Amino acid sequence: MLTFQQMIAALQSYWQDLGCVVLHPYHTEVGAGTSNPATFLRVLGREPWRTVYVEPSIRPTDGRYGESPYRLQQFYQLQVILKPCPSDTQDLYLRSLESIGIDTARHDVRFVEDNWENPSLGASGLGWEVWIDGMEVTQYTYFQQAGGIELDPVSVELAYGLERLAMYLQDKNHVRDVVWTDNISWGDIFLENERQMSTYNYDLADTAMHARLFDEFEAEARRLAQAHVPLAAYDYLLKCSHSFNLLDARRAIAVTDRAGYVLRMRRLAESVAFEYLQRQSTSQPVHPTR
Amino acid sequence: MPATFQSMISALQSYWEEQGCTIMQPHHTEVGAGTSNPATFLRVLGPKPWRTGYVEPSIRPDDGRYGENPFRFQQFYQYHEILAGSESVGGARDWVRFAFDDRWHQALRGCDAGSVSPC
Repeated sequence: MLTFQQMIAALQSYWQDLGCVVLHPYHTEVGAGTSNPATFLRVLGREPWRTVYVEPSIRPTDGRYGESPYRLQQFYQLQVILKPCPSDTQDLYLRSLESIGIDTARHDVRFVEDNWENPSLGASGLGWEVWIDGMEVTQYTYFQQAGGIELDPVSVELAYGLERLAMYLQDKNHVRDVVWTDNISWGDIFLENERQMSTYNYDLADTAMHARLFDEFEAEARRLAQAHVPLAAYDYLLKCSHSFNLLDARRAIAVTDRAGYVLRMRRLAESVAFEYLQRQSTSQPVHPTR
Repeated sequence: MPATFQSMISALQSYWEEQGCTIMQPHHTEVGAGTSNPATFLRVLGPKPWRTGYVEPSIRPDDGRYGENPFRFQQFYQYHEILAGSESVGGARDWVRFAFDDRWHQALRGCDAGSVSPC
């Protein structure tokens, strides 16, 4: 049986052998691996790109004080991007499951249609949830739009939910029992973090501060996009998004205000994407090294 | 010898994994060094044994040189290793920490002196 960390290493090595650049989690809070610039920005434009990386997904409204068997305010995704999208992606994906010991011929693997949209990033695509024996373990998406820009070529994104995959592989009913490595469980590392961060997200986060931060991060992102440094602007968009998520967890966003916040983030995402492409056309292209 | 940056990282990770380390991930906010990740700063507190290895993007705004300098960047990767709390590795821990510190300071002095091969 693979431990959590062995499972990550096996998947990384599988995708590395297929020419993926192995990257690392981003250094600010993101709700999903999609928001890492290695996805959101690299899927723009025509340049080929293949990458694999782990991403801690920070979703304040999903915390359950460590009590839920699989709802967490922080969980790990393994994100894969293949651009352009190869014709045998589904096959490559199924073989990745084989690489961690799942015999796909002997299990019920289903692709359940679930088109994906992230309105605040202006991103969307055709997608499927992948279920194995009734457990959702991956989101599989053909990326068609990012930052409001139609993508050509289309990239495919595979986002594995690592805790759920490990629960399935290790036959555990609660995430805290997942074996991270010998003698160390997921719970040993993160259970207390779930308790304290759920308390912060739901009970203690300073809503006036986060409302103010949202405004200030937005202004900074806009100023940086206008100064043609979209990579720096994008960081501040991500920080807006995290403050928004915390306000949401604290129920500090009125129904009537939500659309306004989302629109403000979408406008930023659009100007970052536009500036990114402008910058790419005027500076040295960056090619993945092999 | 590993031929690429990413194979060097995975070789280090599998080496330290074999020494019983929990392999962790970078922290989800900006840190100046792997030391600031709670997997080090908080886990070295108290008597509980802990061994970990992880990559950390170190964000140091003052070290940026607009991409013009061969080895000074506002973002670079550290491989961070902590061996704490076990008497039998006390000596090893000191050795590891001093060895890394020495290399590090040497590298910084090298940079200051304008040397191109500080390590």
